[in-house]
Amino acid sequence: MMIGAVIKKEFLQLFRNRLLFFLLWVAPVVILGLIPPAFENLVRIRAVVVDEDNSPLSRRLLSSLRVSPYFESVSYMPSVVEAEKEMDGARADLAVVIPSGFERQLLPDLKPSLQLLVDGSHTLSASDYLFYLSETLCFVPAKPGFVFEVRMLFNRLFAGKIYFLVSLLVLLITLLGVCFAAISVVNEKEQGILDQLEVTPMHRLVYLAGKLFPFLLVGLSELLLGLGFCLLFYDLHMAGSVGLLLLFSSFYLLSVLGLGLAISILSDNQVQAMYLIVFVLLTLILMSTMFSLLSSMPQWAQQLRYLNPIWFMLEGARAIILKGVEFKGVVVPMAILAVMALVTNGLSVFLLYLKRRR
Amino acid sequence: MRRGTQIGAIALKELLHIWRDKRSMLILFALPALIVSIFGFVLSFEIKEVGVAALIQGNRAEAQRLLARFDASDQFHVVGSVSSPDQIANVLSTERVKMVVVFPESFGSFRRPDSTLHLFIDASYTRVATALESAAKQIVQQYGYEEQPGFVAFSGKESATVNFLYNPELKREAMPIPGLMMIIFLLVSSVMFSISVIRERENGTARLLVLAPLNNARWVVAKAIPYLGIAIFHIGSVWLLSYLLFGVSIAGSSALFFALCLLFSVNAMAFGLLIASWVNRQLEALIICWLFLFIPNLFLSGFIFPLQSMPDLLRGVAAFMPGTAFMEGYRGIVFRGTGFEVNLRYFLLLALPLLRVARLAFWGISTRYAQR
Repeated sequence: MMIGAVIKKEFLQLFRNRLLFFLLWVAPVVILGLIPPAFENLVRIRAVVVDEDNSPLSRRLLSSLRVSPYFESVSYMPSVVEAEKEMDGARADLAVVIPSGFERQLLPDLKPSLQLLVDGSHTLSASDYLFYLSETLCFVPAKPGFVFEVRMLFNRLFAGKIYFLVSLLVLLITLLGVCFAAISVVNEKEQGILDQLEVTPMHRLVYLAGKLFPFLLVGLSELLLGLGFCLLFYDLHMAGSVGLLLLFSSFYLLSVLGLGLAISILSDNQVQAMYLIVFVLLTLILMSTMFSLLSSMPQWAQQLRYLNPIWFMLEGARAIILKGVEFKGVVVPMAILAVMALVTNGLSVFLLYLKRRR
Repeated sequence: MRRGTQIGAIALKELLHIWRDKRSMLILFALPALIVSIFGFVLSFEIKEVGVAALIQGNRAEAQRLLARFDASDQFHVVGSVSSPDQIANVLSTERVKMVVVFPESFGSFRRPDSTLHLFIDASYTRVATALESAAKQIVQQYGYEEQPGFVAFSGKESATVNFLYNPELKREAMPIPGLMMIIFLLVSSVMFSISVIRERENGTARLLVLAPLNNARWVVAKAIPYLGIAIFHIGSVWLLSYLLFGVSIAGSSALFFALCLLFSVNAMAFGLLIASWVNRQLEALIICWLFLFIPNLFLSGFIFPLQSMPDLLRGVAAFMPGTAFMEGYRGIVFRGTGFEVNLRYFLLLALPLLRVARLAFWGISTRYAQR
């Protein structure tokens, strides 16, 4: 009975504020509409070339760059100094220098070499540039060698968008849920409502559960909204079952909401809670493999992922949405998330009891 | 009282507010340095020791020799083998394996040198997939050159000497630093300033400040002074750490670098103020900062995705993001060591919106805060 009243109160507070309503239901859609085109992996390399050889071969090489769809612009520079100046001004990503006497080096026993200057300030891009350059400059093999057959899995259209769509969805429900949870208790503390609630016969567990449940519901509907939007407007293909995803996400949401609640109870005022939440969320987001590759992280950081609920959620969501993994495949991370949810919520209950003693 | 001392008095009040709350102060001062020093080590966009599994149908010894080369390379790490072709998808759906190499039956037999190697790659992260493909091809070609007599792979292909500019050894630490600094300065400056203004409103003290004998929104400027000091502290501490831990030294002028960071922080504070002039509660400001400052600047600034890879329309939008201007300016000054003329447009891209946003925010504050 009483828990129903608390839930009703939370929902009333959520829905009567028009700006919060907008932030919850319109803002995520706006972001999902605006940001994902940025995930498009168009290859547009701006190259400058210095042709010191000016032979038929070098001209043929350079014209193959010109017609390649990967190169957005190919401009000729009179000297290497000029080319470097272009790269300094960030107007070019790659400089190809063909030394004089290049064609003559093509005689069988000499290894012809050309010089490439690559902007290395974005590591992954730099390797991309080299890849597409070698694809473009590569001629038909004269003698049979190894022939490659490359198949890309789990991403039928080879669209870079999809991987990050899932990340963005997880990011959105995390940010909204944790922010709400982190402010909820401390806000009432600051306004003195918590003192009033303490003299009611309501149990503390009821109070916390009554806070947790609406946020969980909001988070799940947020996820459904975002997922529906992605299915409609982007070519996201849901490989697994929606029910499993919802089940998985509820364990995840419970664990991060518990974290938010713990922060909220720990803080004396909203400012403290906000600084803490910025720190904790940034740490969890950057530590999860949302934007970087797991295998390229140092060993200790890789091990720390087992403490990070966002990482489990990302892996689980990718497995369910992209790879169509069944219940059996995600049961272990789900159990771990459940344990995390128990720990964080247990922590908030503990902290709440601790506060009362004082 | 003269105006200068009035502004000083409000600035002092704000300073006391910050000083009094020790726990908040600690987080506020330490946060940027902490984040940059941890994540400079953690974040990396490099392909390193990616798990590879093999399905060997041909000459086992020969295949093992090629696999040893995969294992020895920086990019790959052989984690196991696949027993049958229908296992490939299963193996790839585990997180450890990103690529499966299939050696066909003809592999390693000299009578049929034109064997086809099959590469199965987990393409859920496209950029990584293409990078893996090219790395794998390079390794196989190298193997062909050195261990297979008479093997000519792509015979027309020129060998090339590659020089990486600005980040000569493709040093992993240097890469995420500008992006991290951008995210930190943006979030911390905007969140701390906007909530300090809204707090006055939520507590009702804004009404008292409006009554102060300062014309309309000058109390906001006074409040900004201590936070400006904190921003300067952040810039100094983050720079010092990135120098000590990651060896990032400023190739260009230090004054220019400092000016860029400060301008960006002030820009973020202006956005924070604009948010503060619109909303009523600290919670709303926090969510807006995350959703509409953090997310767009994270994805549209060239931190994670280079601007060139975006569609034209979005590329135009991204070019005007404050985060983009900061990142480009940072790369220009710190990595490339270019001077003021080259980086002038990044300063303008930060300064011009700053004026407009600040004016809008002052207007909002002076109308909305005076009413209630």
